[in-house]
Amino acid sequence: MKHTVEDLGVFGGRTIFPAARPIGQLALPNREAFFRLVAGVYARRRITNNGPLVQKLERRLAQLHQVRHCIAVANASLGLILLMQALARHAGGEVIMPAFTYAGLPHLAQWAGLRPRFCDVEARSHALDPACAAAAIDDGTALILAVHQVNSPCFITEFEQLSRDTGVPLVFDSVHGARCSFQGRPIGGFGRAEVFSLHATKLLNGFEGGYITTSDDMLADLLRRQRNFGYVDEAATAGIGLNAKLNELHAAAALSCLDDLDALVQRNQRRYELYRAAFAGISGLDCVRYADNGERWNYEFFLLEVTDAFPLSRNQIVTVLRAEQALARPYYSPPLHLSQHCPAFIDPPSLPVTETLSRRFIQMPVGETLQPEDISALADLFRFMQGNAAAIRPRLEAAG
Amino acid sequence: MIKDSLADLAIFGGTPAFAEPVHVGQLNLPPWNEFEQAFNGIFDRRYFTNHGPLVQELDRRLAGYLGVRHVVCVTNATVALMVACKALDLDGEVIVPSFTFPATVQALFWAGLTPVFCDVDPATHNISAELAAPLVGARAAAILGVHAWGRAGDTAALQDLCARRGIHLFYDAAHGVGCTHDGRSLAAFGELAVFSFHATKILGSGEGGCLATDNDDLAQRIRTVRNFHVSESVARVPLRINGKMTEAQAAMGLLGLDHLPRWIQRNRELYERYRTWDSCRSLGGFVDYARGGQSNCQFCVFDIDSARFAMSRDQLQRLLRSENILARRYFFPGVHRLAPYCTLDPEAGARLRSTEALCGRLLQLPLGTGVTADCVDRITGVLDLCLRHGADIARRLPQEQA
Repeated sequence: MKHTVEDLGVFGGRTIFPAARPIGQLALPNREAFFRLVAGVYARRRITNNGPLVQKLERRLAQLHQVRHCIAVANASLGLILLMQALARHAGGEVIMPAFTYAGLPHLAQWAGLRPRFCDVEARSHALDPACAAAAIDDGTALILAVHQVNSPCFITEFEQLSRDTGVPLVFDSVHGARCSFQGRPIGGFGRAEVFSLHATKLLNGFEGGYITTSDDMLADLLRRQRNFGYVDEAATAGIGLNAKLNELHAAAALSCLDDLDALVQRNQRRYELYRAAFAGISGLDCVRYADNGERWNYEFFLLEVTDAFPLSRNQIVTVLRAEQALARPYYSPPLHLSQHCPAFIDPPSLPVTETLSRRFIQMPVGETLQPEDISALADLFRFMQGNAAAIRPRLEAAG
Repeated sequence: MIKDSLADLAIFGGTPAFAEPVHVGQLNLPPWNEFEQAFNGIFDRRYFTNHGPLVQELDRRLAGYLGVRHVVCVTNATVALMVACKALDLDGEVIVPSFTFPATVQALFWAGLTPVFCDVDPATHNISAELAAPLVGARAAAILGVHAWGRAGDTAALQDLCARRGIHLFYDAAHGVGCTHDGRSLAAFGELAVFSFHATKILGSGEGGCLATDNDDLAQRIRTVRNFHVSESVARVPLRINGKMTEAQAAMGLLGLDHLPRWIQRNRELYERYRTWDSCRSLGGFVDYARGGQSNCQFCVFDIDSARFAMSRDQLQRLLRSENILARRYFFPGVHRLAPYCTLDPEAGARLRSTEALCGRLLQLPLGTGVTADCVDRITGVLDLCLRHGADIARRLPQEQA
């Protein structure tokens, strides 16, 4: 509990948390299951190259997402590169994508031989705005990369229609849509394909890793080849692939998390509800809600919205939080078109909704290491900041 | 059982020399108790990826082992090559051997570069300055050399050529952990070198690879290219990727380093056993690793004298496979014969004579954890039978497909 401004970690006081409170899930694989699976790896001496554990993981994930194919990859970035390159209408074309998203996307488009084209998002859902995307489509458009936000699927009906109308292939970055649904169907079955992550900070922990879901048989075959250097047999390739193989150890970890997935989502929901209860009544703050509309959510994030009524700025709050070992961060800020991730050959467009949103949200600590009392302590800290803002603000500004 | 008549050969109905397939490839694994301990440590720390303590330790230990200032571990060696191209900020053409694993060339494609295939010196199986020099045109940005089998080629002359022409020199040393040239590790040559820790290599991390360099600025660029993190944005680079190695991979790499001398020693003993057989028959078929430095002996590369065997390499391979000896053609074919290069330049083979010849002659024989001295004797026993009865066998073999 903080009594004076000097007690804040940012001014040299003792931190609230003795160890970092991260913003990722960090779900622990079931150790017994993991070691049992890896004992099999030892017996077979098969550690990679589309081993039986990778295949088992793919079968289970295809079932989970109700799709015909799941193609596991070494990480979601490599999966997106392969997928974009495979589906682009023409090499060198533009990929329509949001700028209020993961920093990697503009880079990955370029690895796929394409150029990012940033479009604005819709204010309520934070998802890529179909109207903005439609306005950007021309002959140079190679692909639409729509991104599901944690709180909203990305206008699936509208984008599927837009893709049909224009002939531009549609894929989803579904890293934050894992275990979510749209109209009762699991995310994973929309567009030509969807890409998920097995990164430790995500719902399903495979250390690093990712997978692509699709019900397109030909696309699945192509991606399976492409992740293994394009090989069709041991002496021939069908094109230029790369190494995007998931290894058996990472597959073992993901498999050892799978049975606990729904329980993890429930614990996330519990943490989210605790957050909402703890922060209720602190004026000047709001949070991103998961709609109570019968759809399934993964409750992976708690996103706090800082309005002008709060006496400290969003960035000042983040500075205070981080100094307490709460590894909060500005949510998708700066937006990609105004960041170091914007390629030099692009004139940054004006994206008013994106720019407004990018100034407002804090991604708060979540995941399996966050205890209920941590959430109360965080709410106490916000009350303290609110009550002592007049003293905190000048000192933060002086410190630069 | 040592086979001594044609009817003993599995291809003619005999019992295969091995009940289970014997593979090419190292597939070295640390002892189970060490594995368990390391992974319990990871789970206790709950630190899985993002520049974790084990990755940092592996970076440090490899830098020491390879004798360079910086090592950056990544997802796999293909990603390492892609990262290398962007860290060096290359644009244009890169001179590269066709006698290599496809990933060497594929990495260039993903980095937006154009490969220019260079033939290899039949004595070293590597490109040389003499062969590369005429290919260095106005658009040349770099030479990407490959230390095939972890055996270096003509490094000093290539260095000299690149310095004179003002282009970069870097190496694919995927085979080269534990190998030396002129008393130095293969990381010492070129501006950077890429190593592989794929399961089939001497040091495995499941999948994995690293970049090694003595150049401080280049190391900063490499670190920046291989992730998107704000905390690891330490240099200006043209493009970035998620190429992070995980704690799981690093744990395997670290345990492997502890056992590496033993694994190399074992490879040497098996390799010597093959070589002793070979010299008794005066075949001279095995690649000589003794020249120029130490080797990890992870590959058992047999250069077939078709005249002595009276059969082709592919016939011999099929015969061995039927014995459950999973000998591999490697590298085969040359990358210039793979899509799309085979259609872009169908005549390239005419300029790549030694590449074509090696691709037609070399066969990898099993060597590694799954192989014992007794296995080697049984394999060379089958080879003996082929030597004695080559012409008869070739006559009776089903016709090869064109």
